[in-house]
Amino acid sequence: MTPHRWIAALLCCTAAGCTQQPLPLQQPLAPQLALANGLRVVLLDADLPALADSVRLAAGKSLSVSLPVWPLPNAADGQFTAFAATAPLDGLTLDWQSPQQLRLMAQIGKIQGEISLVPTGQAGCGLSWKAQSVQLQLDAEVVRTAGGALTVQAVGTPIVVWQGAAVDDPSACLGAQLPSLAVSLADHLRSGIAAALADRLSQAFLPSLATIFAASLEQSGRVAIPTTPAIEARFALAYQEAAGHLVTHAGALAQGNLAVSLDVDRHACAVDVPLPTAEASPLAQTSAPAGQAFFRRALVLDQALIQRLAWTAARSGALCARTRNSLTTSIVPGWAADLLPQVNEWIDGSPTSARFWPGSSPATRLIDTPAGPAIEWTMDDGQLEIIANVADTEMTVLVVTGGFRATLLPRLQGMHALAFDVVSVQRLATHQFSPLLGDFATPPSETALSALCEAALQGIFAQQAVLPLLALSPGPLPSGTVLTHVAHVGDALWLWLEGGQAQ
Amino acid sequence: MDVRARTIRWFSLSLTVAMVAVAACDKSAPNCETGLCPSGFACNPGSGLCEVLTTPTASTSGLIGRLSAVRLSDGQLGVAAFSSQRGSLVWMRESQGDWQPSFLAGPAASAQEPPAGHTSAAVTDADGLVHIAWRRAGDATLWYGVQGPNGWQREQVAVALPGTVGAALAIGMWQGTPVIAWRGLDIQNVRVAHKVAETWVLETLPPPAALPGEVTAAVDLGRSLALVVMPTGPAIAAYEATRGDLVLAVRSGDVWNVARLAGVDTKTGADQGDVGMPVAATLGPGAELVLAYRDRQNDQVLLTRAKSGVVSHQLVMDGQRADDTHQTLRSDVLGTALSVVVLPTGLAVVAAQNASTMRVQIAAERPAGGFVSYTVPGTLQGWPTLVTQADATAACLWLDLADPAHPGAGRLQRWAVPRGGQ
Repeated sequence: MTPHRWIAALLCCTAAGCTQQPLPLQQPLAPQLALANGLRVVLLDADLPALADSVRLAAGKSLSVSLPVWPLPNAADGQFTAFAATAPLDGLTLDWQSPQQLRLMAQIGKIQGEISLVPTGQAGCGLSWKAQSVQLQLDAEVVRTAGGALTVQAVGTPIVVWQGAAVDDPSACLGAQLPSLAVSLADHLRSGIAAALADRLSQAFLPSLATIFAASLEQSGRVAIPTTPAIEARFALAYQEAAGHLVTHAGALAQGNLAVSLDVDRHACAVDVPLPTAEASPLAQTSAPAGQAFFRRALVLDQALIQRLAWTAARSGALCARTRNSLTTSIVPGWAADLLPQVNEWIDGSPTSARFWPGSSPATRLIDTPAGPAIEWTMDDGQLEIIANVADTEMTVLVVTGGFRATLLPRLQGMHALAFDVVSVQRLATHQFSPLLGDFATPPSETALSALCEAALQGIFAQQAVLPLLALSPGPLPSGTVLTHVAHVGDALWLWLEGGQAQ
Repeated sequence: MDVRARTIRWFSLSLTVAMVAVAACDKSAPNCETGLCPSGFACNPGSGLCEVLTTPTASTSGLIGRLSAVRLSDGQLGVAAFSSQRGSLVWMRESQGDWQPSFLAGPAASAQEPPAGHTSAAVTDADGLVHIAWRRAGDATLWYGVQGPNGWQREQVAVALPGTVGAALAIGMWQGTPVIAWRGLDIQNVRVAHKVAETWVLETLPPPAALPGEVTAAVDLGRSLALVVMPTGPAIAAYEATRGDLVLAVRSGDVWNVARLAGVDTKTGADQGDVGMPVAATLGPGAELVLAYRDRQNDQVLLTRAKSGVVSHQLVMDGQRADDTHQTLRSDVLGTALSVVVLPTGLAVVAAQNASTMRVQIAAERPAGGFVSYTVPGTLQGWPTLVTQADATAACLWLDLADPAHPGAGRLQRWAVPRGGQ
């Protein structure tokens, strides 16, 4: 999957490998399809120092400032030469100034530079200017433009506090006749240098905030489901406003909440189950993963969204699935002897394939397992078919009907993607029979049957979607974003992202 | 060379040939399993002796696996099958409305012989003689038998090295002698042996022509295969497992032309599904090549006709069915065993295994186009095969698996297919 495919994959694709670009929606999705707060972008206060470091690195630890030639009030009298200096960015902090405004405070060290007064027709006379330190304050906020686009903009004007800023005129270039020029020169240099510093820091600060609360998450479109190309899925994500703001800070975190709308055509093999109506839960507080990371933030998938994604997968027909490969590697030798002793000798090797037919839409629940956070996926009515070679001919040798419960364990795929592995399967009140033999006179081994069902469902969903999240990768997020951790907090799955920077 | 010397040389040669022939037929002939045993004798691999063929009581039940049926010169049918009950290849000849079975290979044919005939293929020649090729699963060897006036003459096809013969095989008659195709397990490709002047001449199919953009493609050919003999030579349809394509190899002169026929867009190389496992083939009027094969992903049976370079594809059957309980559509695993015949009218008849319901489905082509499908009466059915009858209709033979005496094995059944579309 290409990196820029994340959101379409997250919401609409039902199999890994989806590479299609979404087409525009033909009409907006109905409001009742929207799940408020389904997806959240979270920036913890604890990560603000690391974000400040990121901004400092982006701005540069040593800021170059330069001012052009400045003519005297009467230009015919002469000019000051250009000014150039280096401003060390000693420190930078970020704090939420208000529920919606993030404030950057930059501590800049000593700035010193030379400048010459060049009267017309005369030789230049050297001066210098220095400031012991300067503190610059800049506020920013995520806003929506008049055109509807999400952007980060500076709020108000930067506040600059100078310490020990003064013009040094050892050669008395300005002389007693030009004291007002000394004041003008000092003002000119302070304002010019302040503007240059503010511009430089804004260029680092605003994109950094835009990296966290990525505008690219706002997407909508329609795509064909790869496993069932005739089926179209439609989706829309939009940042929500809360009290007139798109990003709000409360407690120890700031969040941008997105409403997620999902709709999909029903495949003929899928049962007609209405869209789940569960609402997103309030966001629980948590701590960031250990260590510091640049641009660390979390994408928080509420359980209600995961349930809707499971519904999407089922409705699209993606769960009417089959293995693409033989179950050779996952089935123990002798499996048939326990299950089908009457025909065991005619079954050649491992099952050639397995198929699954959903009779309901799965219920999902976030759980914790010794291996980490997981999703419990329960299909209370399904049919699993095991196909094997009988005398060199594929036959359906076993049909298991009833409920199936799978544990889906998230797994990071490389640096960008998340997959869910079916790590275990339970049968829930299943009935099994063989089309070849009918009902079993004596029940097959429970152990062998469970192992077979687990291997079959693992095989079926190894390459296809038990959840559309299978193809998760941070595509439309800023380039360089990587997925590093997955956590279960409250009723949500937290996907920790790092790196990247918006352009 | 003078006449006397030539006479002596001829006499010596004749004597040598005669001695070899006598040795081959002698009951004490060593290694008889690799040579010929005379009619009425079979090789005992345990003793290395040609032994008199006994004919134990065989029945038309306790069978399993693919059937190979032919129409005999007298219009009656003959079927080769594997008796799971006896571990032996059984030949059943229709006679006065009943079947006369006899064992051809395996322990039921010769007490010391290991099980044989899990897979077999039969064909009749211009003289009405039946030729059968079969596989012995235990040592993966290939065997051939021809029905003589006094019984079966059998031989191991020595060019097929032990351990290399896969489960897919087919037989045809080319230039008056048998030609056998099988999957070579060692090369994952199709081997062909043609019997020329009592010697098997071995060939291996070349890989299919490269697709656009394809540099070196791995080929896994012949997990299923079918063979027909066209006027120009043998034609072999085979499943190519790497890409899931149907491949057709046609011999013209001394050259095999091999190309992918379905499952791929040959112009662009784009994948178009997993088709050709299994495949069945027959010849229609005017040497029209007719192939029936399974589309594994879509649970469909498709038919392809090829004649004079013109290829057309048709849908024959679809496994889709309504699930009333859930108000949904599901599909059956359809076409895992296939057979196709073309009636003298040019209309095709296809028999397919429904592996979900364990029933045999038959589709007969209608004169107006399209196919009409039947489900063969019965309950548990397996391994259908079709054969044209003397009255220009088709008969379907299959195994009835609902025999409580032989769970997992079946009894041979026969059903006259209604005339196409009527």
